[in-house]
Amino acid sequence: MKTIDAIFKSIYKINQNAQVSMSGNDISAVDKIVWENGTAPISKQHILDLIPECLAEIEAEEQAKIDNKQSALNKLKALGLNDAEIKAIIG
Amino acid sequence: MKNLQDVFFLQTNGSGVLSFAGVSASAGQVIQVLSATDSTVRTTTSTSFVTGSNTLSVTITPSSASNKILILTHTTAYFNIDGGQSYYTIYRGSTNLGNGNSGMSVYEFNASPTRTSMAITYLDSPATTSATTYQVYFRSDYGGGIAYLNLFNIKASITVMEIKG
Repeated sequence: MKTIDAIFKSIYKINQNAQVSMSGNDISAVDKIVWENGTAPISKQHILDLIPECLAEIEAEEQAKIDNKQSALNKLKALGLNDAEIKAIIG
Repeated sequence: MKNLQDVFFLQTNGSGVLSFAGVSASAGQVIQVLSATDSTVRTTTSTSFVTGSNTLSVTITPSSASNKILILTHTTAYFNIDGGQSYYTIYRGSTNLGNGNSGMSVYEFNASPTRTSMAITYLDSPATTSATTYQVYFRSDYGGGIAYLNLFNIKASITVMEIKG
């Protein structure tokens, strides 16, 4: 899913109003893009050029979520909550 | 020993559909069954319903305009942004059998992501004896959100049954 997300993210960097459909869950999906609702096609190379940057952003976003969760857990423990109480709050 | 009128013959319509010659179905009985599958993940950011090139499509030719078509589908659904939804529906030709933009089923990402199996069942009355195509369509809630069909390449299917009216 990370690759697909990166392809979509790359497209949005070029055209933030783009509406597209794709098939498959790897980089070959870029060959099967359907440009929906009158969206002007973008060249395959233009999309591929931005993929590394988009993948790095996605990984940074995922790491930020993990870090934020751990930070929140640490703060709750510092307040005196035990693991069961924390689980009861955040599931 | 059977009388001649008690002997039934199996016949084909030339398209792989078998039936007993001289035997007419009674109301509620299944006359023919067709199905299709798709094992490729499909994604879209379209805010209007699209197929995303899925192969969950079946074309059936009802033998009578008074017969009904029972449609059974299952797939796996997902949407990638918290607070957003993806919508799913069935089209008969170019007609959305669901409720406008909401279709027939919804997946909602609410706080934590889950992936869900989704089934749609619908009894249609196409009122025609022409070839009629049923296909699964889906859409994103808003631009930028990615709607998924057949998440993780999990096999999905559509089955249509002609029911004697």
